[in-house]
Amino acid sequence: MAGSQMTTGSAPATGGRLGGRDLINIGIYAALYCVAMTVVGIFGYIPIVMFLLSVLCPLICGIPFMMFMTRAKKPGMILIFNVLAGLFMWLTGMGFYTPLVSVATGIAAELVWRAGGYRSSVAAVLAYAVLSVFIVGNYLPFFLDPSYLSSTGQKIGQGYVEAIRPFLQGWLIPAEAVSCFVSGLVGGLIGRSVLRRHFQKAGIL
Amino acid sequence: MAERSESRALSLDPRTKMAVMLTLSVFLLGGASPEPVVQHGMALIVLVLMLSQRNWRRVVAYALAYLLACVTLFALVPVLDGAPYFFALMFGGIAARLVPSAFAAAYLTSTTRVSEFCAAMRRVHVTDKIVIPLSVMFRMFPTIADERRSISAAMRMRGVALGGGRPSRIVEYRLVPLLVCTARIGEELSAAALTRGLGGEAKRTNVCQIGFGAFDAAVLLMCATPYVLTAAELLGALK
Repeated sequence: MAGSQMTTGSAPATGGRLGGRDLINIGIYAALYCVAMTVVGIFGYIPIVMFLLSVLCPLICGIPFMMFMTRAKKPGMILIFNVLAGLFMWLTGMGFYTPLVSVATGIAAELVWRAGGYRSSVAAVLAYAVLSVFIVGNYLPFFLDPSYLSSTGQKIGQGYVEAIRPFLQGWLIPAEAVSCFVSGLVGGLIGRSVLRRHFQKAGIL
Repeated sequence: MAERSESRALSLDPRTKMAVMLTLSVFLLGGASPEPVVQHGMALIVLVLMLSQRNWRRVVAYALAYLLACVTLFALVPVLDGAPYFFALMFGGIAARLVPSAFAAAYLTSTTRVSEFCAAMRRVHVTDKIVIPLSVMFRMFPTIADERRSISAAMRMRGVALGGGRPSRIVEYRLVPLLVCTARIGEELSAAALTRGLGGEAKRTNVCQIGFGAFDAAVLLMCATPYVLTAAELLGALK
């Protein structure tokens, strides 16, 4: 076990290299995060709700993520977490932009968390809000592909293009990013209060 | 992921399955080629995978779901008008793209053992810092589903319906117990995995036999077709 840190008890030490235990913790909480994401994301099959997922997902997923933050005491853990979530999106068929976006948001969230000394709860909420922006990657295939609109225009009818055009304006991507960030803040606060109410009292953290 | 792999002849290397996922996300979801032929071709590849698994219930479910999407898109949409037209179009458009991807993902997770997946990832030189958490993640999904069933049984026994009448209570009655259980299982899993040498300095060995066969070649060929067609089209357009 040389080089990898083995801490017993639930609060790992801050800093140092990632050990086996940290990698396993990332996997466990990433799984919970992805399950929460999928449960909410199923509702995206209802057309209009799809655009609201950028608000709904960060709200619910904040609870598992804030729990993960009590374990994420070493540099790199949030980045790996975010890339895993992006890969999960790709493997479940959400397009390959998401893992790419998740690298950027992961690094940004990592910097926020570092500025908070890996324990500030304000930094944890902020880092979660930054990380949540990666959800925008799921919408990118609808925007980054100009041929998509023109081809549906020819094949299915101009009515569709006209009906969907208000939703496909260029401002929608920044708007989705902002709504991810804001509901990420709210979701992080919800997660923090649930954590305090249920887990600290019960002595799980 | 799956407990056992399927019979050897019709099983795919995990790398082939990932190539299928990549192709689907480029052409079906990313819409790199908007031709309907390419879209239906992608759906056909997924059908071949489903058939090779011989899970007939899933084959039927997939065929019905894709047909429903296509009927909505190509038969219902032209005769509708106004708001129903818009909803049918959105539903059909999203479903026709997401149904094949979702079923391909189900195929990947139900036919690949975690250690096979790890072996394949190591062969393509993905770092352990991704492979270990990813395999733990897939290991946890069935456990989480199992815990969810137990919690809902316990809640039913005490007469608590989904949220006890209040939506905000769903979080307290379902998600919080789930997190508590999973945190505890996670601690045990960490201890077990560390005992077995995960996260050590030594290179781990793997007994899984993975490799490419004739069926892999056939599926990879089908996946390569849309890339070749699109490249040919682009080159033709440049001339």
